[in-house]
Amino acid sequence: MAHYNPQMAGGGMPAGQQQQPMRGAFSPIDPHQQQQQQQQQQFQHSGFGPSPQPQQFQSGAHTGAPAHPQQQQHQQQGVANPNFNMAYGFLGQDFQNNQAAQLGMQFAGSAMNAMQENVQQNVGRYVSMRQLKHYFDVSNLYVLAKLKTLVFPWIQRNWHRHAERDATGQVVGFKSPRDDNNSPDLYIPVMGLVSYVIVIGLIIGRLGVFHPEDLGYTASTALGIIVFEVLLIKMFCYLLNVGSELQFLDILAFSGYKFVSTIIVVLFKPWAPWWMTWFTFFYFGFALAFFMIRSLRHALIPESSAVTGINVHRKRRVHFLFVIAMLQFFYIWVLIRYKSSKQ
Amino acid sequence: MFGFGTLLYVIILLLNAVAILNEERFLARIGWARNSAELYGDTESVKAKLINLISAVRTLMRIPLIIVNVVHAVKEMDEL
Repeated sequence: MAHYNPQMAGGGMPAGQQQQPMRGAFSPIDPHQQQQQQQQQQFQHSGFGPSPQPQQFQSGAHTGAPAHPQQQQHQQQGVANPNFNMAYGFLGQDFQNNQAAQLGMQFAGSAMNAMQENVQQNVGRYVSMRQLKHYFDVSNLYVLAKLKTLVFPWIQRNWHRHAERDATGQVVGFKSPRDDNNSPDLYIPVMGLVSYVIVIGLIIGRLGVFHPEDLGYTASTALGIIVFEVLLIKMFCYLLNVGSELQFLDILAFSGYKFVSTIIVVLFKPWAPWWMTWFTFFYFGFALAFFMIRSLRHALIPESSAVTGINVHRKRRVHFLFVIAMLQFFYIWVLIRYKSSKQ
Repeated sequence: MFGFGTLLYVIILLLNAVAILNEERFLARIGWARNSAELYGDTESVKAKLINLISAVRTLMRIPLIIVNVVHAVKEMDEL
């Protein structure tokens, strides 16, 4: 086609002379530097040449223009090369031709990679990534079974967590949520937290009193409740000598399951008569309390034949478990508050 | 009302309250002293653990709490 005029020297500096973009999660793969330079020059020139076809694009929107030359380039090249610049082609031709902008893109990409490595190193010191991954190893069936257990806890018969055994038969922990419907996970709590914030936003939006900072306040309240509960349980565990039976991430997981109940209750609140809201509140409160008691019972209150020294604390642990379960009502009550439209 | 900031505020307040308990003027008077005889045999009762917790907070958190309180006071003054 007469579309491409390589002898057109006009239009900016050939931005083909650039150093190899840095690899990492944030830069697209760029195997062919040569073709990249060629494509760039063609890309550039096709934008500035006075040939008839690009002109109609030039007058139009910039975002529409790169699409057509890209197709023709693919036809010419015969192979689709994910080009470092074509990945950002949606930003328009002026952006492509500006060397400073391209340098900025590369710098941003390499900065992101460096930050990612830094975060991984530092966070890896405090939180064991392998342990976290264990809590996110869920399957669809598990999620459905867990949600059913949260809403109808009396259906579940066996709450015992299966133990993971290594090659010699020693117990090395618990089975992952994929294999064991009773094992706590962190996927449902995280999803529940985000869904809860969105649902509250939806409700106050429907009531007409939405402000964007309300999403932040809601998330802050939800996080505050979780931190408070985890700290409380951790302190009780310390006072009552509950050691490795109840891990920190387990507590976090059990604490996060309340969002499922609160989402259901809070969906009733604006659109149901007050008695129905209170009825669902108490039903889901009791369901959640029952769920917590049954789930934590094996961790906190071992069978008396195993350990003798804890018999002194057994009554205290039972009380403690009961207090945890009853506090769920308080947490759900706090979480279903939102701004009413009367303000 | 129950936001994360409020929670931090309350935690700082409670830690302050625990950190300023005086060992000899108060804790010994009510029998919660660190070195009393009843603790030697029994490190697992709730009372022993509470006493350990209080003394740990007092020992470890006094200096960080000074810093945290100063920062908080400056922040509050700034908002006036």
